[in-house]
Amino acid sequence: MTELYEKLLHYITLWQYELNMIVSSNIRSVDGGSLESTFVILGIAFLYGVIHAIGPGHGKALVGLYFLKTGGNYMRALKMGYLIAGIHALSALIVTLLLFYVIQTLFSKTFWDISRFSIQFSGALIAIVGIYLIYETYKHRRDKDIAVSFNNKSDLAVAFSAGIVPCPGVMTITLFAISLGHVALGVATAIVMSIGMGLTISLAGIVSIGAKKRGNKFLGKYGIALQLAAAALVLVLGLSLLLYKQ
Amino acid sequence: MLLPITFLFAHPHCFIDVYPSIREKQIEITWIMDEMSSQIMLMDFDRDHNGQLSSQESLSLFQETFVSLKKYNYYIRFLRQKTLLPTGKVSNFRASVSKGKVQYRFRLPLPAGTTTVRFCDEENYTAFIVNDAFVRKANAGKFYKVKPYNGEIGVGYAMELK
Repeated sequence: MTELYEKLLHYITLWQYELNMIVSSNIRSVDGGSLESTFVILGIAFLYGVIHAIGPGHGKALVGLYFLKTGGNYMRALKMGYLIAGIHALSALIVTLLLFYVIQTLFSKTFWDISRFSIQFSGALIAIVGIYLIYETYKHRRDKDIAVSFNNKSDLAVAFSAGIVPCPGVMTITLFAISLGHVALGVATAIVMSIGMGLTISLAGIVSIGAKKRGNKFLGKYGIALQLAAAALVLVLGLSLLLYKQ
Repeated sequence: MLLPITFLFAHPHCFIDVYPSIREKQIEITWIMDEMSSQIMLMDFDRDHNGQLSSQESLSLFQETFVSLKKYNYYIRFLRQKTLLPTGKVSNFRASVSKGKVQYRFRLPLPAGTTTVRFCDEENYTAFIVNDAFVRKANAGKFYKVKPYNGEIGVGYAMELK
């Protein structure tokens, strides 16, 4: 790791540590429906989501590589970021509610088992997306602009493959709030946190689209190599997650 | 040629304050978990739901979760200069609850000639926080320098004894 990245990781960790403390103490002390406390919690949850998603994970690598491969406009990256964050938080909400109301046991162990399984499942889906991207690149290798072959369906497939891993951060906050009897607040916190995460994930796509535009100008007809490399890296990313063993 | 995979997705969800107390031949560690993680642990192990962890509940927690941390050296590494020293056997483990937070207190042998003690989850799922205030509180009359430590993936701290 470079020194700058190491420092950034330390800062991200410490910011999350502080925000985690603020959110938990506010949720614990929230009294029957105090609007002010609720807004404080939701505001911090948004910030927590933004910072939480800056660290490794949450599909940023996939989004970055996907847009490096396909290009597109910034609105599409924004949409993709929020799709991933939405699915990421929704899967976390579903798992948390099932854990709390149905399974009702061994939360800490089940958290980890679900995370591990979903990471591998997500890896399999990402690998399929990678193969599809390589195939599309090869098929349209002579086309001037192959980005046109990518549509909402492939965007959805990418969002689903990355977002299907339930966010442990959302699961922890939601479970904490629900266990203290604040069910609506727990669900609202998960939604707001996902809005924050969506912003960060979108930025990965936006940066990537910008890089691709510059890369195309620079690489000219060799831009296909960049696209093929990006598609191959998506496949490697998927296989790495699929073969991951704790 | 697969990627260093935990680097891609691992980020901390549990935050633990570490109070390391240096003794002559031992180190006594106190971990204080963040409130959210504490609540999840209590839901699992506070079986009589009294907000505390009895000796029996502490023993269950030790056997069902803490023992498995041996393969991670309990996220503590002892070094003589740059040489890693073996992590010994945990003793005097006790889990308890204070102000809604779960605490683990345990001891490890302090290998002879240890110059540095590192606190880090190399897979970056748990963030261990060590700072000057924690070290001062745990070591009355003594002070040990603490500095950030970065592993290949994990983010942690190193405490210098000499």
